[in-house]
Amino acid sequence: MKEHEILHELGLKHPTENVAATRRAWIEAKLTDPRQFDEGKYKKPSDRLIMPNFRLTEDEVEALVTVLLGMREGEMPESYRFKTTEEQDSIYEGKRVVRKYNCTGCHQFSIDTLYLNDGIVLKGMVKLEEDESLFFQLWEDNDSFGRKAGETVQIETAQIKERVNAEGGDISSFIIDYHVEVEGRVPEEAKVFTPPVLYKEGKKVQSKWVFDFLEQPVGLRPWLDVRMPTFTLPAEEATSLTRYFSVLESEEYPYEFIKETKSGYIAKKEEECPGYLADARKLFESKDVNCASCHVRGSITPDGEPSEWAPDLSLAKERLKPDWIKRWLLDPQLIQPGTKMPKLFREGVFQDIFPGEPEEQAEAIKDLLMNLPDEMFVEDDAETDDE
Amino acid sequence: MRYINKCFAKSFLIAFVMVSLSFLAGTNNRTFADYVGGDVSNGGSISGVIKMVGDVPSAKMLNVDKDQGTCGHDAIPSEALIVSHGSELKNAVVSITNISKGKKFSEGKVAIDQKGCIFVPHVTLIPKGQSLDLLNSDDIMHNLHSYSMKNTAFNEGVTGGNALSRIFEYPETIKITCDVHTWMTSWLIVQDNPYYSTSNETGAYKIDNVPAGDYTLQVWHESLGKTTKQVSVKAGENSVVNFDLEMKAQGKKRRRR
Ligand SMILES: [Cu+2]
Repeated sequence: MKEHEILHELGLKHPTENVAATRRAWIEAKLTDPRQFDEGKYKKPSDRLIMPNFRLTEDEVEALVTVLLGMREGEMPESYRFKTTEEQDSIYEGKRVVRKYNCTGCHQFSIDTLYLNDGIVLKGMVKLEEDESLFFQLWEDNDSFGRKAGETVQIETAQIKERVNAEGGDISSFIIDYHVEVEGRVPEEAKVFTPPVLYKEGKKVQSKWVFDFLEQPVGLRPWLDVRMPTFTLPAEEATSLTRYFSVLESEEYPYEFIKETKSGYIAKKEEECPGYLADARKLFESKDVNCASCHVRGSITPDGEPSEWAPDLSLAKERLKPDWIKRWLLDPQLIQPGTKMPKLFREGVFQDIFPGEPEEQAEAIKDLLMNLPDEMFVEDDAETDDE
Repeated sequence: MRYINKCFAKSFLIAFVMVSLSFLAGTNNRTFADYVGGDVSNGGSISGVIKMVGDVPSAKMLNVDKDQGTCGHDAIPSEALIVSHGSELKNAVVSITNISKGKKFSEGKVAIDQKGCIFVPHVTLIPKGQSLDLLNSDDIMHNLHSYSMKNTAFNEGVTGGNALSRIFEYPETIKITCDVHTWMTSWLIVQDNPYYSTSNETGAYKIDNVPAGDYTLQVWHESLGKTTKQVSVKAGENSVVNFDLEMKAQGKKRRRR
């Protein structure tokens, strides 16, 4: 008999191909119901199959079959290998470090996502849940929904197909409870005491500063009652985290050109508009903007309790990205809902101090912060605050 | 050309038109069984006095440590708990919680002012959907920060002598603060029916033009919490409902989520 005839009698076509298919079928059957091979056989109890039925789903069985079939000697064919881009590697590595130090225990890294029945996807935070509906604050504009970032909308629970909750910030509910119960604050108000949300952090902070901060944390928010610990991260891990924040937001890493601090930038603005920086400073210091009323500026501190002070503005040029500063100034609630920083630049205000659109006023304050003259953050002599 | 900066050629006329339209677009407001207002003939009324029972703590003084030129140098008495010598409680809000038909909402502007670095009044009630004016009568910047869960929250600086206006879509109790002057606090209660009243210095309140019927009456006070009572209103008659509120024991129950 010829080979193919023998194979045919056994129900096979080709030696290797069919063996492979048979092996695959057998593993699949084994994983689906491990003891099925005892069926109809007479065996002593001690000889019976003992592998338990894990009740794996079809997808899980397929995943395991793939792994088992991949376990063979020699190199795996290229086409079977999972290839990652440099960006993906950065994200995996960043996530690993986040997990290792349990950053999510304190910090929130993402926001809530609602998938509605009609295909609309909403990004933001659930503020309040009721029996048949929930109140959702949008963190991003949504054209198909016709609502803007910052708005709170009511969504019927029946409209929601799937909800994916934000990751991290596990400690927050305890901090909020404390300020509600002991100080009698409303929960929404108590949110300001929770560790900063790191969603889109890469858009906000300069990577050099992030790295330094991870190596040696400094107090930025005097009102917080929990502090960032010094983890004494190995430089590699601090780098991984820094890169992670940048890559997640498709920001440049490690080097980013910040034009605002380079020679010629302010000179050009002054040329276009004589007295540009001086006018920006007038706006900064005017009684109706008065940044220093709340913000620390180097060694100059505001009136009132330290726990009520806002972050040191002399750090801004090393810490923050200029584009972020401008967006922040135009509408702080859009970036960090609930922040104590108010929206100041609305259409038509401060025309006597710095005429222009809110956009232009925010640009000027940003330029000033990136070029803050020494005398604005080093206390000289007797010049104290008004009254 | 007031809004155009002499130094920049660009002008943003579109932005000018778009301001604050978004707050009016209540497309997803799905509150159930809206209140219907109309004429009430021979309605009854509810009145009473709200008192605080138990120990009354002495009035807290709020330290004025900023902008003393405008806000003054003296500490400001807190309005969080105002109790008379006769234990009568001011600024408690009494409202009917289960009424779907009755008198019309009263018209007229509702406003909260910031004057001498205090919110005036301390407690404000407003029908939902009506516009609220938020004023600043001082000569310095105050910010208006609303801590709402249902209505879109805001935090906006308002310069001296200027104002903002906002519409609130959902009934809710909202705390409003100024973060520049941390002692400044006020409360806004958005109502879905017009049957509400705030107690005066003598703890007295009155709700009138109530159609005869059985209702749930709720009292809320920012420091003493809320409680309810049932009331029967008869046509043309006044029902007296007094409330005794007590300071809750603190730190007993823990909320868990
Ligand atoms: Cu104020």
